[in-house]
Amino acid sequence: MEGLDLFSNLPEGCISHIISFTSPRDACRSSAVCSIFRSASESDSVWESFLPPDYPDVLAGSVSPPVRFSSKKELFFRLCDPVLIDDNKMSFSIEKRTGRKCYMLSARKLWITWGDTPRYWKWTSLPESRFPEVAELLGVCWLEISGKIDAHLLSPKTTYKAYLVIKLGEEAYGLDYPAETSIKLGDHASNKIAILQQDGTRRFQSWTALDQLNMWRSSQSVSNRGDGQVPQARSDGWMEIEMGEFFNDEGEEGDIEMSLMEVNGGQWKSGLIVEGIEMRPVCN
Amino acid sequence: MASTSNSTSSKIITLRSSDGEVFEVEESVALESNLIRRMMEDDCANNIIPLPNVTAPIFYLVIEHCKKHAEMKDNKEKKKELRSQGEELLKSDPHTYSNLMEAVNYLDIKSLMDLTAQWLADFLKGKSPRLIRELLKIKNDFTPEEEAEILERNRWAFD
Repeated sequence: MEGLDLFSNLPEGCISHIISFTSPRDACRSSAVCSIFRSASESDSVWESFLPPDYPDVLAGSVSPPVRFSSKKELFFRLCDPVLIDDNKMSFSIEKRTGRKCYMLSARKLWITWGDTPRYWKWTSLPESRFPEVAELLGVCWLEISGKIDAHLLSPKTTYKAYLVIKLGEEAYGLDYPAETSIKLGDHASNKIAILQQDGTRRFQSWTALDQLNMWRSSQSVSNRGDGQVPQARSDGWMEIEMGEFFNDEGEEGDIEMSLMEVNGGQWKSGLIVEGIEMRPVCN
Repeated sequence: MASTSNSTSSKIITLRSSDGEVFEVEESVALESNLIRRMMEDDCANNIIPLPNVTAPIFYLVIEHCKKHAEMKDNKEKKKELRSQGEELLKSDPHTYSNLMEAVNYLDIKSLMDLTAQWLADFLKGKSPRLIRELLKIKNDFTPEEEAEILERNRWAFD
């Protein structure tokens, strides 16, 4: 190996150009090859190519304090943690492995039926939330939550999944009935079933024949959509439940519409805490 | 004299490699190189253009790939084929690859720069630093402390 350094005659810019064709992960790995690769893989030109092209707009719309950075690599990793934008109503981050964009719409950015009626929904702040406010369900029969985002904002040529980010209060009840979720983008629609509370209990009522009939109908109508989604733990202490997936081609199809609805069960529901809806690229 | 042209209609540019071989190249192919373009603009067009940093075998490779690249426009199959050739070259003869990359960089040919960069990028993907060093015959010039620090700082990429 000694004395045969193949790349020592290539300018650093040339090696940076090569590394910008890999991925953030490969660039970080390359930095451990040799010192030429290290300085090339840390150059701004490499990390500029991994950042979403419209990152300056995102930074301009970010809520204070301003994002400070001394290199594009530092900025990239800073943006892997969510930054609040749009007057604290949305968050933006980058998926580390691919550099693709993730957004979360806060509960304040969603349409929540009865959300403005204090008897039914309460707006509260939780220290573990990235947003100043989350929505807590006090009690409704008609549970309907929806949100939309312009497809232009998301990374093109990317498959995304949307997740409702939630918690269940200690006294949560009535959320075990299958809810229907849907994602629409242009001609594409994806529908799923979500069971918000797996070991749920119902207050004031036991299973009636009508309940069982409704459950059966619901399960029949969704039998082609696979098993119901259940909440999964996230690393930030919240739970998430998948709402569906979509492929964002060139972002030319207008808004992506996402919703969760449970209006068939007829029972009262309470204790659901909604942080927002997150859209993340699917990593292969 | 090596002729790389079979067309009589377009203008021919004469170039000389570092080892003295003379090439006749169609102007349209030669102008892919921004270096040659600049030299011609500086009025070297009627003389033989010297390329002191490129040997004949490497210059053959450059011309061959310039032509392939021109042919593959809008041809997805050929594009794929050309992209996959990089892996073989890098495995069998990394030395030639680095000479080709140097020549492409020196001649400043954008299309081939992207192609040859893509070859190495594809090659690097998913490989460990140790394997990259071994296959490409690169010397590890880090101290153990430096190496440990880099691994620590980029730990997520090695999981």
